[in-house]
Amino acid sequence: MTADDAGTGPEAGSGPAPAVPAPRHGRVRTQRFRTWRRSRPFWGGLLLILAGLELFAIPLSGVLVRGAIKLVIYIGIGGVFGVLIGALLVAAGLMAWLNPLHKTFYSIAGIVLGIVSFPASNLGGLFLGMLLAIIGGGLAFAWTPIEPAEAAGPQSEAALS
Amino acid sequence: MSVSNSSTSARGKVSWRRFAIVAVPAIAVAGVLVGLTAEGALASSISVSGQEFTITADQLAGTGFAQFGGALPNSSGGQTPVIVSSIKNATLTKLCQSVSVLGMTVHLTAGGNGTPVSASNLVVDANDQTASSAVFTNISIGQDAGTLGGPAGTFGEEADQVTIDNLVQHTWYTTAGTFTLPNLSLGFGGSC
Repeated sequence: MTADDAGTGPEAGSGPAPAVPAPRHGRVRTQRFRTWRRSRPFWGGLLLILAGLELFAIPLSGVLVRGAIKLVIYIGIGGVFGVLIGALLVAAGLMAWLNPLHKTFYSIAGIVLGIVSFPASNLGGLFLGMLLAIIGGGLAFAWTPIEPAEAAGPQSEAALS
Repeated sequence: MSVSNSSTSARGKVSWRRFAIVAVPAIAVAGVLVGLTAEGALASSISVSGQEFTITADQLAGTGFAQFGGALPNSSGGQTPVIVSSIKNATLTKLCQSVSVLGMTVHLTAGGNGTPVSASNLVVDANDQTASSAVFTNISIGQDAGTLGGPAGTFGEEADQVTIDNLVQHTWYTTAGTFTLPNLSLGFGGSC
């Protein structure tokens, strides 16, 4: 039964594809994006990435605007922490998307980085980056895949974890 | 169609119970850190660049002071002349700092309640600086800025100690290795 389904799946996908007109192609793309989005902790990962970019931007926006490498040296350890924590948060968010299996690790890492950013980088990017990281990490941690068979009994899954 | 749909969509959802399990302790820890910072027990590291912000303080007292002129290229392609001040150890009474982030003004005050703010390795690039009085001890004026870390051959000055009253600065760049911010409060709206 399942082998049969697997056989028809690609056939149905590849067969009519050239005949599909352009507007339908766009719909297929948004549908594919929706499937992709729903199959991973999308919002949690997005908030982690935004938190990282925000922490990154405060010490580095001057460098990016001016293109002055000298300023990076000048910024010293305080700015380096902002960049480091920001980059790690972006990485954690991306990995939560690309590798949802290990989202627990990435989400906890994101939360810890967010908390550490408070003393280390401009009061957590003036609180905003810290809050984004905690909420994003929490969302990524709280995201749980629903298996079609288990969808009927979410209680058992909650009991397991 | 429905069979292929159910087999491809590994869907998930957010369980708010699980969210609370991590978010509540995380917020609690963050709250403790905020509290420690507001008491001045925990130092924080500040590094802001690229946007103009205002710093005011009733008094700034510091040791290891150096100052020279410089220019920073700005976003419109021109040059913004700045006064670069670096202070090894500084204490600031009634510090107020306001930054405009994404159109809204965030303002931060600290050190208003007896214990002053202290900062180490403070470097400020200001394009405008006023004060009611400034007292320097062992100042050498006209020192080559190259010896202070600035552009060689330009004007610079250096002093062992500095005390500046009623400081108002518009700065483009601030960094400090450590900043202790006792009696910290952060709010939106209202500039210094």
